[in-house]
Amino acid sequence: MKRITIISPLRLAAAALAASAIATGTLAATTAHYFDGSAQRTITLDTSQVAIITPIPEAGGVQSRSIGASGSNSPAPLVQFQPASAPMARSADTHVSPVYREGTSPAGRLMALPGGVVVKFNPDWSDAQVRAWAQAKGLTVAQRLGTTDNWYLIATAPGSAALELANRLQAGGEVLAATPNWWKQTAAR
Amino acid sequence: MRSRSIPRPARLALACALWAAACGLAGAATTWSPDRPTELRIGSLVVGDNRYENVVINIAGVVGFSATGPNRTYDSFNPSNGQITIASLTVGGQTFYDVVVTLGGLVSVAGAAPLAALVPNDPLFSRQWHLRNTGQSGAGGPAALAGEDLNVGKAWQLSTGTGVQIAVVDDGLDIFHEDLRVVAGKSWDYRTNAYGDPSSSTSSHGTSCGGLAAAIGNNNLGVTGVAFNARLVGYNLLSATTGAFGADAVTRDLASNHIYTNSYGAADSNGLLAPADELWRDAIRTGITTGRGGKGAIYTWAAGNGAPEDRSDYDGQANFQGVLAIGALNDQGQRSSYSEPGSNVLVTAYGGEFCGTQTTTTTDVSGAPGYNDGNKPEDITGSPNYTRCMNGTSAATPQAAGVAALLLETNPALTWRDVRAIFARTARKTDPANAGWVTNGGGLQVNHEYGYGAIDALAAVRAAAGWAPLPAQKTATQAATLGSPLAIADNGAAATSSLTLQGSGIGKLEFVDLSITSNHTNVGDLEITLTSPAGTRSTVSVVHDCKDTAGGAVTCGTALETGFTFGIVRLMGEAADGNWTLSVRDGRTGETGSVSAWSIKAYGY
Repeated sequence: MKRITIISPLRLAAAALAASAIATGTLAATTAHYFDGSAQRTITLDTSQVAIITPIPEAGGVQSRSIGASGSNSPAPLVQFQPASAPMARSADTHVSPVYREGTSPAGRLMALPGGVVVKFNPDWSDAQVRAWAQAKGLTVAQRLGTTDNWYLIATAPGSAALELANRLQAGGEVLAATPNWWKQTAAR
Repeated sequence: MRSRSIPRPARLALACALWAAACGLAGAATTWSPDRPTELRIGSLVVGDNRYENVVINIAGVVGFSATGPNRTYDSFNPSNGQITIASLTVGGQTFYDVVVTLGGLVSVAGAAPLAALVPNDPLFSRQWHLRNTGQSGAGGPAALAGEDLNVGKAWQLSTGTGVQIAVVDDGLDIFHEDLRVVAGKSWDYRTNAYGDPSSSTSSHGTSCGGLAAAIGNNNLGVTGVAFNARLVGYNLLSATTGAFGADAVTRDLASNHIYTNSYGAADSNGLLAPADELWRDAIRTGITTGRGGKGAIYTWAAGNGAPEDRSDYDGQANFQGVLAIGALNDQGQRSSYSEPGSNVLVTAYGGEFCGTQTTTTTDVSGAPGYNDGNKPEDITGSPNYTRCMNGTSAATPQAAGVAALLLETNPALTWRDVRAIFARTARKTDPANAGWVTNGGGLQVNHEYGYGAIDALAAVRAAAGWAPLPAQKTATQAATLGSPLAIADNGAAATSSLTLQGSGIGKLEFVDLSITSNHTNVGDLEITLTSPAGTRSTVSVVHDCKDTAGGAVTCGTALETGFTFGIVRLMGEAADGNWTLSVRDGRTGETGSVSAWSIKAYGY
């Protein structure tokens, strides 16, 4: 049985997460940014809710399962949202992510940080070079992303760590792209 | 399949076998006899609108063959090059597949009859108006308009999707469904990030999409899929919609998947612009360049169900040049009320309206769960594994995937671009009284609501049989020169800017990216159009509210602030060189801004 603990309301946590986001411009209190390739994307912190992340153990804690499609035979909730003001039932294997909205509209697409940064390396870099680079920086390569160019998933804890690392790697200029492995609200049509 | 470039020794081997083998021959329908080594007896062959029986031909040469198969259902004749493709032929005890021979001459024909539409014996086929619209009645509303369907009945006499594999990227797939041909062990479960069972009791959506694409047909069971001999795999991406998984789902098993059908995206009905990630775009680029042995995987993409608030133009994935955005029609042959218009809509298939009127009939998750739980008046009584309530561009998109499968069986040499072009050039002009139809500079009729029209499976399959591959694709990019940002008058006249593209070498466009950067504080205030050198206007944004989840009007925000790329497929066949004009009009008072940069990227040949 999972150990359940009750933690305090998350208003303070949300405020802390907002403070940890990389603030920009006049909307410093609520907006942050990340890079998608070379394009800087603005996101808006949704302080009204938080995302509860339940990583997939097999994936080393860097992937998550999202809410929406899982049925009664699904292993567990994947990403769940709850009001930031609500007490949170939290087990040892769940994590919290701030919730962002894409762009600057209050209706923007919901986004959360289940963990991990997707990084595009120069196509000349070998797998060994990528792994050596990661090791030198104290990072862990979670997986190479299939046949898609030279993209890798670098492990991070769920939450703001992914956003911070992605922006740091992008600013460092050693990689072609570094983007949080966002969970994005997606719907069947 | 080996094609025209087969090694000479292999070609000689088959030719020698055909001409010199001493053993008896046992082709099921098409046979060769050593007694008449220059002849082939073809059991049945469709040419034009007729089926010919026991056709005896002289062989002028053997072009190619495959050692593995079967990869097709029927023999076929390509009138453009005089080649006949035999599904299977046994010579000297060895069976060859996809044997392509050059017709030397006609010896005899035993009989001919007009080609008749195949009517599958599946008990629920009669409800599937999207396949054969006889004027069926739905749960409510007017009866369907007879003839408003995919026109696939005769196409099935030519192709049924044999040998083609379709990946259903969705909320899951009932891999044990009685009426689906699912490849064992090759579906992916993103809940565990491993091969496994992607289904759940609520994964009805993907199961219904799979059935529309490729439910087993003519098996006296359930429903019929468009490509009813194709095989399926399922990837339940919607259980974990991360960036990494999104890229994985469209490139997984690229060596064996021919088509990926995608009926999902950013939430609809909110009017928001949703850019596509660079990782996902790279994944699609990988698929279209390396899939199917370099001919490119085919990506069908749901245009979206958010009309009238949304346009497909606002969806960065539907905007991407590597996908085929599919809109939806109702049973009257008109745009489904929810189907999003857009400059990126290629063609339309059938989604119906809502279950209270008429939607599509397809597979449902097995047993009591799913759309058909037996508790609703519209449920199909006694058939819990099927539903008549699947709608949306989600329903239309796998139908397009199914037709694509028919095309790939008919002509495996088709590239993904060929498939796109065939769809556009063979689509049927539906709702002809609609004022949105224009003839573009390439001579094709196109409409923001319908793309190039309703998919016509028979016309597409026939075009595929004799299709000359498109030349290699060229691209050309041109940015507008703006000395200073282009001011947009608040609630005023349109601001315009032009650029000139020269020397592109593109005489026939296939697609155009339109990238715009603007600091306007509410993109919902803007109407944006691009006029091509031939004068075709493509609208990519209209003045609109964005909506929150409660339906309240909110700002759409500064969605163009760091650039957004729209996709335009309306200009097929036009020349790329010349003057392109961007028009941006602010239709509301209050928020303001300017355009700091815009550019086009033309794709064509």
